[in-house]
Amino acid sequence: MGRPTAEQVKGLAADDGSLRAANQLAGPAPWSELGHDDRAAWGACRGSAKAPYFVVVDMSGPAYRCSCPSRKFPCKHALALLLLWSRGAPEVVEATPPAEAAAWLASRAAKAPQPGAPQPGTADEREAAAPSDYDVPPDAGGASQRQRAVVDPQAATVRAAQRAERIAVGMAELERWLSDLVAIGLAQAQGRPFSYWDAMAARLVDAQAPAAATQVRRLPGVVRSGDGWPSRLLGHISRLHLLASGWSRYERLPEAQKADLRTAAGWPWPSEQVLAGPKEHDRWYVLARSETEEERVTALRTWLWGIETNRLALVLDFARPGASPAWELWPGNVIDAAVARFPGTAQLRVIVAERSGEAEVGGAPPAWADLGQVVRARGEALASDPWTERWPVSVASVVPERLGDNWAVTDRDGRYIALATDDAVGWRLLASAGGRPVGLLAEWVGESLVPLGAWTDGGMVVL
Amino acid sequence: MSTEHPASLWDGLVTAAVIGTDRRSFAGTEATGQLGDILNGVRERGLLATAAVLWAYREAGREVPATGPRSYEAAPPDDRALFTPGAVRALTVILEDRKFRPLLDEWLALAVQAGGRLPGEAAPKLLDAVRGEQCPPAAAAVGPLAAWLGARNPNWAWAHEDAVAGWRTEAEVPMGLDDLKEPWARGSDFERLAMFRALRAAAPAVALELLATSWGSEPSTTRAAFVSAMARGLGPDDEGFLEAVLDDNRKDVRAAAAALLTRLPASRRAARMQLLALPLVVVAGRLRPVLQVGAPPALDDAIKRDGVDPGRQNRDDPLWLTRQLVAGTPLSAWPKSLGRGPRDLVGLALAAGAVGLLEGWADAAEAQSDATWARALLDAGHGPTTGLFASLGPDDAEAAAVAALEEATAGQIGAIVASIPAPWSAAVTLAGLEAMARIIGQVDTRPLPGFRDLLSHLALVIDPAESGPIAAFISAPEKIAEKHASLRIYWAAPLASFAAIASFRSSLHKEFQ
Repeated sequence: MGRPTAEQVKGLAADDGSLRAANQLAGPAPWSELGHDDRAAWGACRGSAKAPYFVVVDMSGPAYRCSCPSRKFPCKHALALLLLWSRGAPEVVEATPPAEAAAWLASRAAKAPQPGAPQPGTADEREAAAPSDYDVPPDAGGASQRQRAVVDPQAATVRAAQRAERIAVGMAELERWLSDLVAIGLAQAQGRPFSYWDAMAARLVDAQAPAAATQVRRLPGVVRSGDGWPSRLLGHISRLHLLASGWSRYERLPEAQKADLRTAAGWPWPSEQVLAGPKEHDRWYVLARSETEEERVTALRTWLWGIETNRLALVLDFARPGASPAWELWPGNVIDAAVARFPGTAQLRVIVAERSGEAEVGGAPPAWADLGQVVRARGEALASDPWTERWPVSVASVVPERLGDNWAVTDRDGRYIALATDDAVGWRLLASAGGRPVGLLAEWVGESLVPLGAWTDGGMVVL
Repeated sequence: MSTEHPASLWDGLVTAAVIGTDRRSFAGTEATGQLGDILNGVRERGLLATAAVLWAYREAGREVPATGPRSYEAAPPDDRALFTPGAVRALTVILEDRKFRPLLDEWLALAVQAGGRLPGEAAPKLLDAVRGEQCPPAAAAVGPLAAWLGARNPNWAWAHEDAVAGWRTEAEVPMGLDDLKEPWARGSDFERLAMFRALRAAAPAVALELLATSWGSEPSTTRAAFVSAMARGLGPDDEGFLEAVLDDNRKDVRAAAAALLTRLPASRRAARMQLLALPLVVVAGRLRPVLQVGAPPALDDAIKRDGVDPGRQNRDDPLWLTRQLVAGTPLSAWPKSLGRGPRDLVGLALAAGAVGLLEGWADAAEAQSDATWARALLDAGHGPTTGLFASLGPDDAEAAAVAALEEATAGQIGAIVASIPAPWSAAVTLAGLEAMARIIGQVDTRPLPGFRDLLSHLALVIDPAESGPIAAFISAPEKIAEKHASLRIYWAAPLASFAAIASFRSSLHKEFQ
C-alpha cells in the first residue's frame, strides 16, 4: 500500500476518457483539504456543482467514494487525486482522515471479508461473478439474489437445480437453432438481420446463460469479419454446439466437466464455494494484465505464474465497487499467496485467498523457452476445455519485428507468430527490443496474440 | 478413404456448412487413424459435432514451424546508464499533460546534460512529440536506437538522416571541400540541411562554399532554411553571399538574408541603411538640446530590395519605416554623426517621444549585440526585451533583470518577466518572486487579465532549487484572504497552477542529479 505510481493509477482508469479528464484535474488548482495516511487518500475537488466533490480512495481495495454523480468507476476525481498523489504533489499531506472519510473507511474496514474465512452472512454470489473464459459481467440474475442475505442450504440446492434446468432448456433451444443455421447453410447467415442473432441471445439471457448469450451476440461480428469468415463462424458455432449438446448430458458428466459447462454458460460460482476448496500456496509471479470493456463494466485480467509449481492462474476483476485489482498485482511483482481455484478442468481462474508479506519486485519472469512450447501448452488447455478463450503467454526470448504493416515476434529457432496490436503498442514493443531478443508477455485471445508486456534489460515494460 | 490433412478436412467441412445440409446432406468426414475413429463416432450427430472435434483437433494440435535461426539488424548497443524511472515518468507526464508540455525543452536539456539513456519503450512517444530544435536533443537522449527506429518509421526518418549526416560530418570535416562535394550532391534535402547545420558550427566557410555549389538548384522550399541556418557561425565572410541572396525571387529567402545582414554592421546593406537613416535625426540647440526625427524617405525598389517593408496594410507607416532603417544602421554611426554618447541620445530621444528611433536602436542593439546601447536603453526605462538582456554580458544581464523587476509595476511586470531569458538565476528568481508578491499585495483585487499566464510562465523560468522563497510565495493568497476573504478563490487557481509547475520542476531537477 502507500503511494501508487502513475502507471498503477493509469491501470485503474475505466477508459482513456476518464484518464484524460482526470489529467485535467490533476493539478493542485481545483483541490483543497488534500491528505493521505498509510491506507487512504482524500481531498475536495471543485467541479461544476456549488459544493466541491469530496473523494476518498481506500488503497487497501482499492475502493473509491466520491460525492460526484459520475457513473464511471473510478470517477475522474478519484483518478485525479491518485495522479496528484502519485506525482508526489506536496499538497497531499500526511494527515488523519477528516470525519467524512474516516466514517467511510471505518465502515469498509468492518465489512472487509476475513481472508480465507468466508462469512456465512454474505450474499452468495458476491464478487465471484463471471467465468474465466467467456467473459461476462456479473450476471443479471445475481442482482436479485444478492439481496438474500441469509443462505438456506436447502433452498440453495433447489435454486441450483432450477437454474440448471432453465439453462438446459435454453441450451436445447440453442442446439436446434444452430442445426437450423447449418441446415439452411452459412451462406444465408450473411443476410440475416441483427435481430436474428439477438433474439437467440436474449433467450439465453432469459435462460440464465449470459456467457453463452455473449458468444451468440458475437456471431454477427464474425460474419462480417472479412475473408475466411465461414471458417471462423464454423469454429465458433461448433463450440457453441458442443456446449449446448453437453448440457443435454449435464447430470451424467463428471464434476470437472460439469464445471466447465457451467462456466461456459455463464453460471457464476459463489466465492464462498471457491474459497472453501483447497488452497494452492505459491510465490506467484505477476506476468501481465489485460483489460476489456464488457457490457457495463471493465473486465481486468491478471495472469499469474506459480514459481514453485509452474501452474498458471488468472485473477479476474471487474471495475465496480470494491472489486478493483490490488496494487500488488502489478506486472513484474512476485506475491506470496494462497489461491483457490474455480472448479473446472483447465482451472485457470482463481481467487487470491490469503496473502502474506509485501509484494516484491521479481526478476525475469518465468517463461516458456520458445513459441513451440507456448503453442503446445495452449493446445493442452484447449484439449481439456475447448472454451478456453484466453491463454497467457510468457516466452523467454523473441525478437519483435515489423513486417509490412504487421507486427510479429520470432523465436530463436525462427518460429514466428503475428501479433494483434495497434501501432502505438507495436512501436513501443519494437523500441523496447531494438532488434534484440526480449521476453514477451502476451495473451492469446481467439486467433490472435495480443502483446501486453516485455522483459528487457531495463526490467518489466508494461505495454 | 482419404488420408487428407486435417486442414483440408476442415475446409471441406466449411464448404458443406456454407452450402447447408438441407441442400446436400452431411455424410460425415473420412479420416484415417485415431482421428478417423473419433470422427466416425460423431458422424451420426451431424456436421456441427464433427466440426467441434476437428476444430479442437486442429487448434490443440497446432504447430508453429521452426524455420531456423535468423539474424537481425539490431540497434547499436548503448552503454549509457538508463535515466531514473522518475525521470522517465516525468517525461510521460510532460508528453501527456498539456499543462506540463512547456517543460519538454527543459527535460531535454537536463537529459542531454545528464548524458543517460531513455528506455526504448519510451522513445516512440518522444520521437513523435518533438519538433525542430527539439529533435537533436531527443535523438541524443534516445541514443543509437533513434536512428535504428528512424530507418523503420518514416515519421522518424529525421532521426536516421540526422544521425547519418552527423556521423558523416564529424568524420569528414578534417577532409577538404572536395571530399564533401560527393556526399553533399548525393544527400537528400534533409540530409544536406542537417550536414550544413553541423558544418556551420565547425567550419562556416566550408559549409558556405558547399552550399554555393548547389545553391542554384536548391528548391525554393529549403533555401530560406539554408539561409537561416547561416545564423550559426555568422561572420563578415558571409556578407557577399547574403548580399546576392537579396535578389532571390522568394520573399522569405530575401527576408532571411536581410535579417542576418542586420547583424553585420560592416555590410553593404548596413552602409545603405546608414545613408538613409542618419539624415533623419538632428539634435538642435546647445544649452537645451532637442532631438528631432524627420520623415523617412518614400519606399523605392532599392529600399525594398533590402527587405524594408511598408508595414501592415502597406500604409508606409513612418514610425515603422524609421524603425527598420535605424535597426539596419550600425550603432557606432550615431555618436559619430551626432557627437553624443548612447546615454545622451537615448535620453534625448525619450524626451522627444521618438518611438520609431528608440525601437530601431533597441532592434539594432539586439542584432549587433551591443552591450553599451542595451544598457543605455534599459537604464532609461525602455521596455525590456529578451534580445536586450541577451546583449548584456551575463553579470550585467542579471543586474539589469533584478533592477527591472525591483521597479516593475503591475502593468509592466508581464513584459519584464517574459523578456528575461530563461532559465533564471537564483538572484533573478528571488527578485521575480518578490516583485510578484509585492504586486499581488498591492493590487488587492482579482488577478489582472493575463496574470494566470504570467504565473505559469514564471513557474517555468524560475530556479526550482529556491524552494523556500517559492513556498513563501505560494502562501501569498493567504495574506490577501486576511484582508479580502472573497478574493481568495480568484487567486487560488493561478497560484496553484504555479505551484504545480514549480514543484514538478523541482522534482524533475532532482531526478537528473
